[in-house]
Amino acid sequence: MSPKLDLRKLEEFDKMAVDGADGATKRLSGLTGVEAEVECSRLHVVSTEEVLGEFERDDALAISIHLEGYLEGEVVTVFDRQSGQELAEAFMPMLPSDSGYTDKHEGAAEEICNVMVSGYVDGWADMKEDSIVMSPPEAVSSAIEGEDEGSVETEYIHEGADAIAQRSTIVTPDGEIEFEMYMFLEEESTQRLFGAESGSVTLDDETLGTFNAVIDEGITSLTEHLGGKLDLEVDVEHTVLDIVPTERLSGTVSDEGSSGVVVELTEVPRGYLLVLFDERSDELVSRRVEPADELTTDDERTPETDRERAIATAGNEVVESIVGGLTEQFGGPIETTPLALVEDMRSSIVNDAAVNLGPDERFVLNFEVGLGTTDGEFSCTVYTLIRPNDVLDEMDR
Amino acid sequence: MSDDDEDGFTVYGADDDDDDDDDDGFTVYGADDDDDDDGFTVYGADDDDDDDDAGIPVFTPSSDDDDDDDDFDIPVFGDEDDTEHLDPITVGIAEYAVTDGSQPLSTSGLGSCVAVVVHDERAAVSGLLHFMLPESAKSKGRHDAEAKFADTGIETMLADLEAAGGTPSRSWAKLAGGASMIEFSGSDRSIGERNADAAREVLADHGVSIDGTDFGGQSGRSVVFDPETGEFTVKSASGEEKYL
Repeated sequence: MSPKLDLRKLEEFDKMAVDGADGATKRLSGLTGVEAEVECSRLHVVSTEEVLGEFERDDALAISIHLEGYLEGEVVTVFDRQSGQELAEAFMPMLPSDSGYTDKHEGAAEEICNVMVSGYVDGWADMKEDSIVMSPPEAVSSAIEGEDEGSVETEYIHEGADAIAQRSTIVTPDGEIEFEMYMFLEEESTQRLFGAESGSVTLDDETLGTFNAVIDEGITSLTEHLGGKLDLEVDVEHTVLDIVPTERLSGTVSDEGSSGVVVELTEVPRGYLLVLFDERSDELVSRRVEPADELTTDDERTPETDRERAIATAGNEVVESIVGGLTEQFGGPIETTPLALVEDMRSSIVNDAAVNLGPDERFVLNFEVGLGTTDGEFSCTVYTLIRPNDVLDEMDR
Repeated sequence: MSDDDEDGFTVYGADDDDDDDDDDGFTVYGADDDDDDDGFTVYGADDDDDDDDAGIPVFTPSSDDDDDDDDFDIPVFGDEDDTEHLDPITVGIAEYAVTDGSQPLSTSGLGSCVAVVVHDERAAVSGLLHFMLPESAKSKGRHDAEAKFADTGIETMLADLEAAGGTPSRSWAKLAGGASMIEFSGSDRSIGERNADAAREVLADHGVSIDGTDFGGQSGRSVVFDPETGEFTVKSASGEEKYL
């Protein structure tokens, strides 16, 4: 069963995510005495293939909890090894950090995860004024090196079953620990939660497929082309389709300085396309990319130096690929403004794009693509921020 | 309600079976009216008045039967009083915070958004709001945060400031943000400009004087307010700092 999110239910689903995080905060802080806050950030639809790939990573700790009652299905929480260690040590400071990630860390992380998920479930049950039955946690993927937990396929995690995921953060006195929570729900629960009835306007795996096709259309040639210019092997490191309240999007983006380009998509689907390089990549791009002779740029934010022209040239390569892919998928020309060069805190840039989507937009659809090299020498994130209704209108045509 | 059974798990919420003789080995949360042995925990709407939610450990020894020292016993560490003066209270986008303490207030990611700090020196009460848009949404049935908008955000923050002992009409405000970072099309006036104007207007309506502003431009900002000194530090991505 693939989740179909009825747009009219996004408010409710978001409230559920927030109430769940509140419940998890209360439970974690109340029971551990550690001042911790669980922050829900983004909701997204992911394919089974991607999820299974995530679970099967050598450094992934995946903890599964079965639900019955109002919600039937499975909640799987995933930490990477580093996050699992940080989580365990934040709540159990007596654990030996020098030994790296041990079975004791994993045991502690599993128990903390149980506490946290129980808070989520309690929050959901309170909100729905109904009962949800929860099993004890089970590690379905170990992050201990050399350990193989075997197949993670279960009744709910199988080929063709997409998931709703939320990326969240546990804020402790020592720092922030990111984790991913996947919900694989049985059809009736999905229907009850998201209310996607026949003929309703939905975000689902079809929408996800459309955006993934954008990648297939344009990004492969882009990575080759851009990689050629940089003399590096550039790959697509991640793609994700987020549905997030506009005010929460930039909360998940760092304040680090970034440079790149922005264009506005002026016709349906309307929104912004942001191509942002981190500081290290900025330097690399400015050294290795030959600035294009002619670039159509915004009058007020036109590149002036060779460095800025190199950034704009590399950014333009990415913009053209994404816009080409969108054009192919949405079956018509995608109108954009000229390029504007940006150089600022990444959170400010992303936040400003979200604000400029318009006062009537409660949610934003963010199609995010990470491009980079395995050694981290080059990293670029592409944010395609679109008004959700515009996407659905286009797909319905 | 505590759970004295031998199963090693804990009861949360309105567990109807007082004797809790189920031998399921799992936790019961909420309205558990089942006496089955299905091996699951029930979480539900806790509508009772007892205090059974408090302080009950839930660390399940499901996979830990050994005697080693990794049994879950999480200690309290850190001293809140020690950290209170060190770490700022971070205010997110479309959020506000009010404090009667000396802990700094901070927010980042300001583009066209505006940060509004209001401080009542006599009562030593301060508030910081990070709002996104000038006017609250017109559409119905939405659950936008009040702090997302200048009008509802400032009003709500001032109400909380008053509840904390402050008086808006004798307070002063300092503001920053309202940039035009990536605006291309649309109206004659940018959202940043409209945000700045809206903040001035709402503060004036509540009799709050404005002591300093850093508005406009094309750069993002982050801000920190120190309630002890009244200093409002505005930083840009280039590292430039202004003190209001």
